[in-house]
Parts: sequence; structure tokens; C-alpha cells
Amino acid sequence: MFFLYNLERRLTLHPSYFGKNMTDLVTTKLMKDVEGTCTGSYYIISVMDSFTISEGRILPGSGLAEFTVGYRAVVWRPFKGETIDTVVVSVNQHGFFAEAGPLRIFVSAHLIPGEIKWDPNGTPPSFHDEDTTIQVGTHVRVKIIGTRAEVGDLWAIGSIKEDYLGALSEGLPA
Amino acid sequence: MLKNFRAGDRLRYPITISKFMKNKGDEVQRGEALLQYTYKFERTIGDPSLNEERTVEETGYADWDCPTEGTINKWLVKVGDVLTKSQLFVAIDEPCPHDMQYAGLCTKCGKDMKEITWATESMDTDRATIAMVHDNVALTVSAQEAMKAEIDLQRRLLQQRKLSLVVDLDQTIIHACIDPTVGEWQRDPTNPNHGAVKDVRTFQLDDGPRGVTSGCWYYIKLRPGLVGFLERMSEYFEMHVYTMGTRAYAEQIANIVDPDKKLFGHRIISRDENGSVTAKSLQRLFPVNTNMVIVIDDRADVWPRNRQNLIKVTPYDFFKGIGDINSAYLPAREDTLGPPAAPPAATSAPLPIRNGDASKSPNAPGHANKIPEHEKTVAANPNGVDEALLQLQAQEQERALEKQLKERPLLHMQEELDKEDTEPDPSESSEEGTTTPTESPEQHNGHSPTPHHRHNLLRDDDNELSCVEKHLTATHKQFYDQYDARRASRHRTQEITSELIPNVGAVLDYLKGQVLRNCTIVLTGIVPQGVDVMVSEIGLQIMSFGADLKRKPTSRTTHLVVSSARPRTDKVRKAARIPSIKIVNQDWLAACLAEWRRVDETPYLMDINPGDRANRHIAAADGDLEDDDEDKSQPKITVVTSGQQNLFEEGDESGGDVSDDDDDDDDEENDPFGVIPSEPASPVQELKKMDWDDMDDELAEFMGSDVDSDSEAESLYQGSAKRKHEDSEDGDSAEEGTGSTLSKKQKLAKARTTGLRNVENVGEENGADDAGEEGEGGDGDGGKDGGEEDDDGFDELEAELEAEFEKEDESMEE
Repeated sequence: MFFLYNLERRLTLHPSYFGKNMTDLVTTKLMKDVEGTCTGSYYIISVMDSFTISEGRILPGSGLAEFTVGYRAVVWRPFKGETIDTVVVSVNQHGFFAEAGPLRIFVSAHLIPGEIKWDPNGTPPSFHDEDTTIQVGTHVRVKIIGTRAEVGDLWAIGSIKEDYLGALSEGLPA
Repeated sequence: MLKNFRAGDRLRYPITISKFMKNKGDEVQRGEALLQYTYKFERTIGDPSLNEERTVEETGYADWDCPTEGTINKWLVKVGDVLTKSQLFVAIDEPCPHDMQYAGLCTKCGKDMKEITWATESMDTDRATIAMVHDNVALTVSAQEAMKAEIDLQRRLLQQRKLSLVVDLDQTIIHACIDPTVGEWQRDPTNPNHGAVKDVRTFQLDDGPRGVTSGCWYYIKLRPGLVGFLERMSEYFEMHVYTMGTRAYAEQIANIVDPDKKLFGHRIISRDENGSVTAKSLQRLFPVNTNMVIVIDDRADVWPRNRQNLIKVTPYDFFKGIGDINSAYLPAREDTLGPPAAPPAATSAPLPIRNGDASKSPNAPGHANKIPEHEKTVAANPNGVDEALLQLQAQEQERALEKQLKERPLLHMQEELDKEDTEPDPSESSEEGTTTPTESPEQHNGHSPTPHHRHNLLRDDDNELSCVEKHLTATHKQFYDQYDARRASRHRTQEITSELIPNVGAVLDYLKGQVLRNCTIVLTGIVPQGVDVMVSEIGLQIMSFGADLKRKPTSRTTHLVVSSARPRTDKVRKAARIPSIKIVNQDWLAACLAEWRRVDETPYLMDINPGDRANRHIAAADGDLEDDDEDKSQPKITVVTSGQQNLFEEGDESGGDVSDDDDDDDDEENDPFGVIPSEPASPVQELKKMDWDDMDDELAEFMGSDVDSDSEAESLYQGSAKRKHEDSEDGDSAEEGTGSTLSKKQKLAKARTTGLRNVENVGEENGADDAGEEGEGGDGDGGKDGGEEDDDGFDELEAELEAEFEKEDESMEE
């Protein structure tokens, strides 16, 4: 799920950048530092704006200036029970991996409806029944049934064994 | 899923079960108390300052908490039981066995497997430890799950009558380099190498920060016939790629050799998912059994656990001198046969000797400590790898790549070749040697020169894949013949059981074992010194092909394989005297191993120095005797049989000069027969076998003779080290006193007439003594009291001292 979230971050700036456009530099640095990172429970997708930039404080010894920046960012946090659209990136006999942006979700064969069978002989190998095929590149709607976070990384387990889940017809490769 | 839980090791045993709080059929949660137990413990009470401390025994009460959730199926203990150690406690029916996990999450229920509570007795992550999918190490399964997957796989393959084939990339089916010279040659149609490189494929790879080498072009040469080979093999095999390159590299190569993903599909495993940076293991992909898996790889040493399933191919070395660009991660190559692999006899075109020969130089340090290293990595740390090692290797690889980019080895080689072309060639036939300046002319054995207007460095003339194809189809056929036979013998054809499936490793062993059966092979100059031939790479390979590998040539030996770089070793000379031994160069062996048949030896026979063959008839007549000598590993002293042996020794050089000539002795003892043991024997050991009476004689004689005769002293039992001595001794007459005393005696003993050598009778000895030289008065004792050892010792000491004194006197005078 996406949120607009108010966050705060401390940044340091080298003395050579001290000048009138310092605010811009701080904002640029902020975006470079935080966009696309994972804090452990959510991904910071995009910085909307930075609303407060504190006065710089010179750090004793190094001469770097430290700013405390308050900013608003779009963050994405996957929840257990959430349904999301993903793209399949890898298929094997135990299930398939699907990616939703930065998050990699594994859907095991247990959580794939029984009629969708593993076919190792196909090129490429796939899970399929009469009307659906799940292979690399297929768009799949998945329900997250568990997540685990470590600093800098998130993993999730998904399921397509429910109504309205599974391959999306418009996502099938031609 | 029923699972039994143990009481755990952390309880204060002995414990007594006092009460069940949950009964059969109850739902339980993790951490919930399941039963109560009591235990006894001692406690110190009282005031320590008044010395009124005493211990009392008390009873403690505790709960046992549930380590998992589920339904209690059965208690495995009863109320009142006393447990003295951890034992099975309770069977709980779990809703999910957690037997497949992804990055610490159960893939079936989505629960976090890394959660630890006070009640946790064993980690849930231990329930699924086997990583068996190609492209992800975070996905693990339990042993049962792995077995199920594998049985499914085998059943499917049997239905399709296929086997699994694991294919290595670098130097097996392709050869890669990043030398930009290749690109230049490709664009320049006038270049002599244009023809060879025009179908080289290229791609750019940017896998991480690499400094100079980031985003450089990779040049990929497919092994000749590769496309057809893979196409045909895919009918018999389900193919996997297993490479020590990075994932990105592997995928690029797979794109080139298999653009439609028909052959390999997504069955690609690379260094990034391997789990070990030094070794490959089939168990990574086939954790339960490898009965239906064949590997083709150019290196056997990276498969420490799967040698049986391996078909070792000759390394493909198209870009000469480049080697394997991903080899920084592997232990140093110790293929002693070298990549040249030599032209198989069947090829009509003359092949160049490739400079891979250079790798034959003895540069295989410490074979022994290598294997433990693989095993350590595999065993201790299946998923993680030693970070420090990895980093080191990454740096090494980067350095190697950088060097290739900057130094452009190919360009230099071609320049050198051109230079040699413009200069008048002393001998036309040295053409092939010019690829590397280090090569010696002997290596041209069996190659005929072909004239070129301008010589090209790269040649596209490898036909290894056709051999490999033959082997693979033969193995496949043999496997399914066996399978059909086994199936026919049982009538229940439906069920496929594991004993019905033959082991392809055994099939391979059988096929290979036929190749050099009845051959007894001795190697010389091929395995570097200090490496035991029996455990060397090439030695293991020879033995796996059914040949009997021996350390030294005997009359039973059939082939002596000689390194063409060192064609005159002791073994060659020895073998030259036995007519039944075929002396061939290493190319014969390489051809046999590549073609899986006993190749005709004729083109590979070595030219033997006529001197070495000189008296092969004598040796042949004496063959049995020699065998006996060889078979004894104990060093043998020459004194006893020297009379007879001198005959040969002298014959070798002076042509039948049988007389026992004192002056020549020094040289002759350097025995081409190898009778003198090659390893330096301990002098003490020799002493034990020595005839002490003889020694006494010598002593007496020595005392009588002039001390200056030192100069002729020759240490008889220093064996092979002697040759070095000879040089120094010529000029240096005054040998160090104590060190050479014994040798002097031996020398003297040898110098005496031969007939009396073997005589051990004291009386006769004295006679000999007299006959030899006039003994000085005091020394007569030595000979006469010969029976008593103590005296002998004294006499010897005395004599030695005297000799020392005398010498000192002499030096003083000077």
C-alpha cells in the first residue's frame, strides 16, 4: 500500500558546497540518498518535497555542515493480505518468483490452484492449464500471505489460490 | 503433519513429569504450557559471615512450553516418569510442515521461520536446508521435498528417455576473452586471423563496478560444431549450464548459444548461486541422487564429489594463452597434460602445438591442501561463502582482466609471428613453435609443417565436440539398455523404483574402464616433482580409464608416456632396454583420453637416443632380475652383486669392458639401471645390512693405504644425489674427514678383486687382507678380532681419529 509519509533525515554537506544554492544541494542529496531504498518495513519510492531544512551546524573536526531535513515521501509498504499485481521473473518446479517493483514474491506450487500444473518440458517451462499459462513475463495478481523484513531488504510469500487471483489476460506475452 | 518433539537439553535433569496441562486432541499455541514437571536442586542458605552456611535440597516446579503450534497427537511420556536426559516427548500434529522456505519465510503458510522464542528448541529454518533451484539460493526445501522433486524429475526423464547433462561454459563449449585485438582483427579482412575470428560473438557486460574492465567487450568463440552438438544432444539430454562465471555472464553466453531458450531454458547456475567459489557440486542441483546426471567440464578438480559422473573434455583454447577468464575463482589449474591435448591421430590437418604447453611447467603447488579446501567450503558453509576469500578472488580476477585489456597478449603473439615470418626461417618446420618462444624443437614430434604466406595465430580446428558427442550417445545408449534389461526382468512395469534406475556414473566408469584396459602405464616428466602421481589429476584420470598406473617401468609395463619437453629421463633410458614397452609422448595419452579408445601408438612413438637402447638385449635377458630389483622398495646395496652389475654398467659406456677398473669406478656407479635407489637412503639403514667383516677388511686396508686416496672417494649410497657430487669432487681432493670415511671404506671394498666380495669367512678375509695390501702392525687387530662387535667399534673410532690426526698434520705442514 502506498502512503505519503513525513520523514526526517540528517545530511552532511562538504564545505566546498557552502554558498547560496545550499538548499538545492541538500534537496538533491536527499533524493539521491533515500529514493529507492528500503528501510526495513517499507520502500521509499519518491521524495515529494522537503519542507524544513534546518540551519546547518558545522561538525567539529571535519568542517562538514549537518542539516536536519524534514521531507514528505511516497512510501510503499507491502502488507500481509494485500493483493498486488506482479510480473513473473523466474519459474521452477517449486513455484514461481514474481516481482512487484522492488519486492520479490515467491508463490509456491502449494498456493497455486491444483489444476494449474507444472510443465517442465515446455519452452520456456511454465505452470499452465487450459486457459492460463504462467511463465516468465506473465502478469500475475498475487495475494501476499507473509512478509519478512531485514534492514535493507523485504521478502514476501504470495498465493494465487483464491478467486480473482492468478494470471492477468492482458499481461500474457503475445 | 506429525512431528515429534524432544524435551530439550536445557532442562535440569533428572525431571519428573507431574501433570499434563493439555491432552490429546487439544489445540496448542507456540509458547503455551503443555505440562508441569518437578526437579530437585540444591540451595545454599544461612549467613556466610557467621559461617552458618548449609545446603538444602529443594524441589522446583516448572512448565514445559510448546515449541510449535498444532494439535497434540500423543504424549510419549507418562505422569510420574523420570527423565534423565532429553528424549522424545510429544507428537504434535502441525498444520504446516514448513518444508519449503524462501528467505526465512515458509512458502506454504507465510510464517516467519527465523522467529525465536524461549520455547524454541530448534530453529524452524533447519526444516528446509537444501537449495536446489538454479537461480535462487534463498529458496530452500526439506530433504523429503527434495526427494519428491527428484523422483518426479527422474520419472519424467525416463519417460522421455533422457538423462540430465550438466554443461560447463568456459573452455568447454566456448572460449572467451576480452582482448580488444580480437575486435580489430574481426574488422580487418586483410588480417591473417580474420577467417578464424570472423564468427566470434561479442557482448558488453557491466556486472558491477570493475574499474577499467567495466563495460568492456567480451569476445566469445563457440567451439566448432557447437550448435549442432547441442541440438542433437538435447534429444538425449535435459541440459543445464553450470559455470563459475557470474550470473550476467552466464546469461549472455546462454543467449548466444541458445537464443530461443530451447536447449537450456532457465536451467542456468552460476557462481552467484553456487554456494562455493572453489568447487562445483552436482548435489547443488540434484541433492538426493545423481544417478542420471552426466557432467561435461574441462576441469576435473572442481568436481571433487562427482568425479564419477564427469566426462572431462579437452579444454578449448582458441585465443591462445588466454585461458579461462573466470578461473580466478578456482584453484590453480593442474592439468598436467595441458590444454594442447594434441591432435588426435584421426585429424588430417596438422595442428599447432599450443602454448598451453607452458602450463605444463611444474606449477602445481600443494595438491594435497586443495581438496580439503573445497570440502571445507562445501561442508561448513553451503550457502554463504568466505567473504575475504571472495573479495581476494574478485580482485585477482579484475587484475587478470585488466592485464588482458592493457597488454593485449594476442596482438603481441601475432606480431612475434609476423616478425618470424619476415626473417629467413632457419628451418621451415619451426613454424609451429613460433607461437611461443619458449617451445623447444622436440615438441614438433609428429607434426608436419604447412607453408603459409603470412601465418595466423588463431586456428579453428578443434573437433573435441564430435568425440564428446560419441561418448555421450554411447553412455546414453548403455544406460537405457541397462534400464530396459532391468525393467524386462520385472513384470511390474508401472512403478519406477530407485533400484530400477542404473547409475550413470557406473556406466561411465565401465565404458571408460574398457579404454586402456590391460595397459600398464608409467609416466615420466609429466607430473611435477613433489606431487604423487597416484593422486595427481592425470594419474586419477589414467586409472579411471582402466589402465594400471605404475611408478617405475618394469617388463610388465606396456607404455611409457614421456613429456616431449623432457624426452630423456632415467625412466626413458630404463624403459628403452625393455623392448615390450612402447615409449610414446603425452599426446598419445591425450588422444586416448579424448577419443575413449586405445589409439594406435605409431605416430606418437618417441625417438629414443640410440645410446639408451644400446644394450637392450642384455637387459632383456636379465629382465627378471631387474624386475626383482624394482619391486623391492628397500634400497639395495651394490656390494653383494656388484660383480655382475659392473658388467652392465661398464658395457653401457665403454662397450663391454668387463674388467674391474679402479679409476673408472666413480663414474660407473652412477647407474643407469636405477638399481641404486633414487630416494636418498639413510646411511644408518645401509649400515645395518652391511657386512661387518667386510668393513673390517676395508678398515685394515684403508689404514694401510695413503690418506690422499680420498680424492677417489665416492659416496656409494647417496644415490641420485651423487651426480652433483661428481663435479665438485673432481677438483676437490680433500674431502671432509668424518663424512667420507664410510664411503672411503666402501670405495676400497669395491676396489678390491671381485671374487672375494661375497665371502664372509673370517679366515679367508684375512687372506684377502694380506693379498690386498701390507697391513700396518697395529691395525691387524681389527681384522683378527672381527668377531666382536664392541672391539670393531673401537677400532673404527680409533682409525677415524688417527685419520683425522694425520690429515691435520698434513694441513699443518702445508
